[in-house]
Amino acid sequence: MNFIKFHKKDIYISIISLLILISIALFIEHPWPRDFLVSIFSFGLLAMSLNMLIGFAGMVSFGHAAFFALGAYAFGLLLQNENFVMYFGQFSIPIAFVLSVLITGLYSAIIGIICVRLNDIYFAFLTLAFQMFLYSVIVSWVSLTGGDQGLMGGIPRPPFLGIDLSDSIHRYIFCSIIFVLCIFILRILNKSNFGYTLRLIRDNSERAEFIGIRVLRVKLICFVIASMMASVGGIIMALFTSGAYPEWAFWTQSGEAIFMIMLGGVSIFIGPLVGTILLRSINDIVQIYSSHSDLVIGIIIMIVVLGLRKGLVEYFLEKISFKKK
Amino acid sequence: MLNIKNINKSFGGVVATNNVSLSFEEGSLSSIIGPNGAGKTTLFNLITGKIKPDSGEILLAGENITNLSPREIVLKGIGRAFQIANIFPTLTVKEALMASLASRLGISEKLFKPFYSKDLQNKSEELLDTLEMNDISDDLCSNISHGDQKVLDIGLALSLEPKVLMLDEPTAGMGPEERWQMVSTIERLWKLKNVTLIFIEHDMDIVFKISQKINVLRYGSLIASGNSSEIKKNKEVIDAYLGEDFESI
Ligand SMILES: Nc1ncnc2c1ncn2[C@@H]1O[C@H](COP(=O)(O)OP(=O)(O)OP(=O)(O)O)[C@@H](O)[C@H]1O
Ligand SMILES: [Mg+2]
Repeated sequence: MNFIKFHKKDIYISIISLLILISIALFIEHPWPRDFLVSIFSFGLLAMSLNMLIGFAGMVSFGHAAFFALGAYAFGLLLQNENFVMYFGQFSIPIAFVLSVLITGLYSAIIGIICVRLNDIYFAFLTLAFQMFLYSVIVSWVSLTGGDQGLMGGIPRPPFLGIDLSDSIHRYIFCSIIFVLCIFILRILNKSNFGYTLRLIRDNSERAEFIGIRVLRVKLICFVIASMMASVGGIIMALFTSGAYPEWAFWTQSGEAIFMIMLGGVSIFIGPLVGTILLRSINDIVQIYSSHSDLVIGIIIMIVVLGLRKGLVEYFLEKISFKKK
Repeated sequence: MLNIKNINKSFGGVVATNNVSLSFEEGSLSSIIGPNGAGKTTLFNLITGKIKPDSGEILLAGENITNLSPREIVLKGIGRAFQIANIFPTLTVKEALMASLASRLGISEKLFKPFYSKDLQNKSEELLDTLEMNDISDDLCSNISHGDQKVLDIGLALSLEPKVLMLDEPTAGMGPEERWQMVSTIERLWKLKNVTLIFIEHDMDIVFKISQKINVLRYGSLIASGNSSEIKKNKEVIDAYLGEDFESI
């Protein structure tokens, strides 16, 4: 098939990455690498999906984590509902998964219709405002969400099709598959007609309109897809922590995703993922020695942004291509 | 082909277009001239839907297009290149044309269709041949020369197979040699594509050489309309724009 032929390289890379990820679970008994990687899957999807807005389409959102949090809360609340689990039985998890992504998609479409009309800083502020709206709903609707305490009591994880997500190895492998699949989808989108239409809009939305592009519609589709991808990240985090926390909906979570993108670089597809790995690693390492991890991370980001004026991946790729010449 | 009837537009107190009526024959090559601020670009903006007129009508092949969006007008067949080359800096020349062709084919919103398809590539190569831009097809739009950017801007408009092609100062900012090269490109494309071509130009030599019909604007009003010899003799145009010593040319 043409599609497979065209994406041969990406399919190979995805399969190999998945095999490596799975073998880590099979050969390393200690839970640390798995736990670390699950957090990378989760926040990596947040950063990668945010870069679909920022890097592909030039839409700088300050409120992207809202969709991450909404995915997590929707997933947790559905599964905590006894009727839901009774009704869907062993299919509760896959159905809750799909529903949470769809709910996030719907919510983002409603917000998106308003936000995508605005440009630059106005778009950024409005997305931020909607995020803070969601945050206050979560914090104040204590009876439903548990308020600042987060979603308490754990999220039930009934086994389905022989997969038991309360088992840490099963959960890890499940999350690996979902993660690789999502990154693959983002990659296909990036190389598709739609992906190039987003580049047109990012570069020059006025001209795009004059060659017949439906700019608002395309931006809205992009916004919804990116939000749904972020919700998958949130669902992975909810599965992992067996809960959901209001911090995920706080603006600092969106800020962190922007840092990840800045650290890795906007212009390279995999940049934000590398940024995620770097930021999480730095965070974990610094925390061993000091309680001021935010300060250290802030300084590192300042050095990268001011010193290199680009992401680390971009910087090294440029170095390499320069040497080749 | 294109008929403009009693069109008016003011910005605050400035009357940018004052009751202008104009018509452009199918397949003709016409120019619009006038001093800075005469309302030439504004007229283009009105025709292409970028701004809405206060009153008046614009008809394309008899169809009223006055209140359509820029996108709808483009799809009806009015293509446009801009006074300042209006392109896509981070794409290559070929990619920009491919993306534009995808829009023409109605497949620009396909989520999973690979962009580098045989079909789009072949079509863009044809267009690159037409524009004589093969040698720079893989350069970033932001890295090519100013003149090439202006040609690419025209190419983007042409990729949509317009009936009417509107060029806003296609030779602006060019040296004499590049200028005449552009003029021959414009003439070549006009003949090849059988479009109705309208261009805005300040260089009178170019205007008189290639226009079949010249329209002169001043303070938003149309003060004259005719072929080269008629315009050269027009008293009002000489006073307002060409200057006394022009008759000698
Ligand atoms: N969007 C706008 N808002 C306010 N005033 C405008 C706008 N566009 C044009 N004008 C005014 O309308 C008048 C005509 O401008 P226009 O750009 O059409 O002139 P032009 O003939 O294209 O000039 P040039 O040869 O310098 O390109 C000018 O006085 C200009 O300042
Ligand atoms: Mg102008």
